[in-house]
Order: sequence, then C-alpha cells, then structure tokens
Amino acid sequence: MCQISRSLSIVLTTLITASIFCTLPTITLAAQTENDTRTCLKCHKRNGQLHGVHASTALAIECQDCHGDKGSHPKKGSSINRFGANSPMSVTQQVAVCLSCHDPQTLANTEWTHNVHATRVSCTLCHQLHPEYDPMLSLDSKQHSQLCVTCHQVKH
Amino acid sequence: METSKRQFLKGCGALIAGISVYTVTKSPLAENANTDASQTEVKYAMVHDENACIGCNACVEACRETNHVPDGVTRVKIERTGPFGNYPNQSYRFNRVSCQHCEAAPCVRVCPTGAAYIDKDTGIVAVNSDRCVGCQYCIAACPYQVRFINPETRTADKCDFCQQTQLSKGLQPACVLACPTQALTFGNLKDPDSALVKLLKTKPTYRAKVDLGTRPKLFHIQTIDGEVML
Repeated sequence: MCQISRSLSIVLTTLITASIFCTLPTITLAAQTENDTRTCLKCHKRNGQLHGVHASTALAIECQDCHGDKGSHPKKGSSINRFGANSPMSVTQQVAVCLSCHDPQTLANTEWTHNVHATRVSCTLCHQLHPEYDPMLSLDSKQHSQLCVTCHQVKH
Repeated sequence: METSKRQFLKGCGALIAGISVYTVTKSPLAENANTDASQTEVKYAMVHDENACIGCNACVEACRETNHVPDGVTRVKIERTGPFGNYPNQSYRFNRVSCQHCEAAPCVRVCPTGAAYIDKDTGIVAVNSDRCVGCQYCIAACPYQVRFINPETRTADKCDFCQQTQLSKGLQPACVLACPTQALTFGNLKDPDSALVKLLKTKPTYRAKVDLGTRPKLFHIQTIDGEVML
C-alpha cells in the first residue's frame, strides 16, 4: 500500500513538473508581449496612448506592430520606427507599415488623393492614429481643399 | 365732365401700360445683346492650365462663398478622369467645366425675355435674374451644360467671371485668386500685354466644342502626362 502511494506520488510529481515546464514558455511569452506595450506606456504615458479605431480590442494592435522592436530604445542608435515630417524613414518605408493592413485599392476608392501621394507623402502627415478621432475623417469640402492648398500653394 | 374724366383716366392707364410694356421689351440690357461686342476695348477670357491644376476644388469653394451659390449646385466644376498608370505611380486629369462666355452664345439667342445677355463692355455672358422667368430654355440650349436653376432665386444662374462680386471692385475672379497653383489666368483678350494674351501666345491651347460655332472664351492647356486618349 505504501509502495503504491509512493509510486503514485512520483508519477504525480513528474506530471506536475512536466505540465509546468510545458506551459511555462507560453506564459512567459504572453507576459513579455503584454509587458512590452506596458513598458512603452511607462514612459509614453501621454503620447503612447492609442484611442480611436486602431485601439479596438479586436485588432489587438501593439506598439511594436507599427513602431517595430524596442531594440536599444531609448538609447542612441535604436531602430525604432518613427513617423511624421521629422522621421528618418523614407516615405515608402513609412507608407509600407500602413499598407501591411490597408489595401491601396480600398484607400483609392475612399479618397482619390491617396493614389497621387503614395510615393510622395507619408500617411501620418495627414492622418493621426493615436487620438480618438482622426481629423481627416471629419473634413468638410472647404477644409478638404484648404488642406491641399497648404502644401500646393505656389509662392508669388 | 363725367365722360372727359373717364377718358382722362383711360388715357392715363393706357399710357402707363404702354410705358411698362415698352421698358420690359426694350431695356438697356436687351440692347446690349444686339450690339456687336467685338468693337469694344475689353473682352474678358480665361485659361485653365490642366497641367498645373491639382483638382483641389479651392476654386469651387471660393466661387461658392463669393457668389453665394447654394449647396447642390455650382457655377464651376473640376471634372476628374483617371487614375492613369499603376499604383503607386498614378495620375489624374482635370478639366474645368464652367461658362465658356461664348461670342455666339446659344443661351442668349434662345432666351425669350432677354434675361441672358452678352455684356457689350466686357464680353461677359451674364444673367439678369430680374428678367429671368425660369423657363430653362437656356439650360437646354447650352452645349456645355453649365447653366442651372438657382434654388434660392429660382432663376437661371452660371459663372459671370464674378462680374458683380469681384470685377466691380477691381479684383480678379474668386476662383483665380483661390487657385493655389495658379492654374487659372484671367484677363483681357484685347490687351496684348496682358498675362492672358502672353500665355495664349506661348502655349498651345484648346477650346471645347468649337465646331458648334459658339466661339467660346474659356481656353484649356492640355494635360501632357497620362495616357493617349481616343
């Protein structure tokens, strides 16, 4: 009887250890990705917050999906993706990040100007993802044409 | 005495009726249409450079604001065709659609009340909304389809080169001032030193539907890039 209980306890112990070892990597992985977004927000409390459609839980967008791996950031020489007018990335590189989800044809159907700016202007010069509302989505026809004028104005 | 008073009143009534009928049928505006506009000093025209145009619609918005054109109708449209080429190297073509200020304007010819007229001093085809009865004959006659009934005044309306709103103040038309790329050039065809005439002499231009004999005064500089269209 004592023999059986000892062997049973050995089996149980091995089973438990095995199960812990099996599940451990997945747990640490999940914790890591979660930690990454959280790690970003530790410093980027204000500008790191993602609201609006891109913050939808169904999309489950992480900082890394657009901004790339943290790497050595915030130290010098980090390869983190920055967007906008002062970005070190080329327009094509910046646009490629958005196009990994967005389809050019769908964008063209919504707004024809997407086509003619595809290699010239990065998406983030007009669009804003982080705020609750993208200002581009609520433009009236006059604001729309004035937006063109801000860049295309020929100096007299 | 009774009869003479009645006769006097009748006479007065007939006189007033006669004067009013005379002024309606023979107003100074109607006279303008009959005189030969080619003898005047000023003849306004416009050039639209389709290479410079970016299709931003700033002209449309400026026109709407300056001339108080209600939503749903417009005096000027920028028609867009395309895209040409493959993504991401695509382009569009833009074409201005607005009153061509024809020398032989079909709208003026068909207007039964004389509301549509050619201003003899400027060559501008204009509408006198006080005389327009809204019969829409001009809308049917215009081969460029640029006329519409203004839903507020219920009369025919169209581009008049901002004759009342801008030219009277010595300013260029609103669309010309609003264009960010200076795709629009407005000026006097009779002045050889005007930017308009210089542009017309240096760049090849075309006009829409000249074979109809309308002699339009809206010139276009054809788009160079894009596909050859048949």
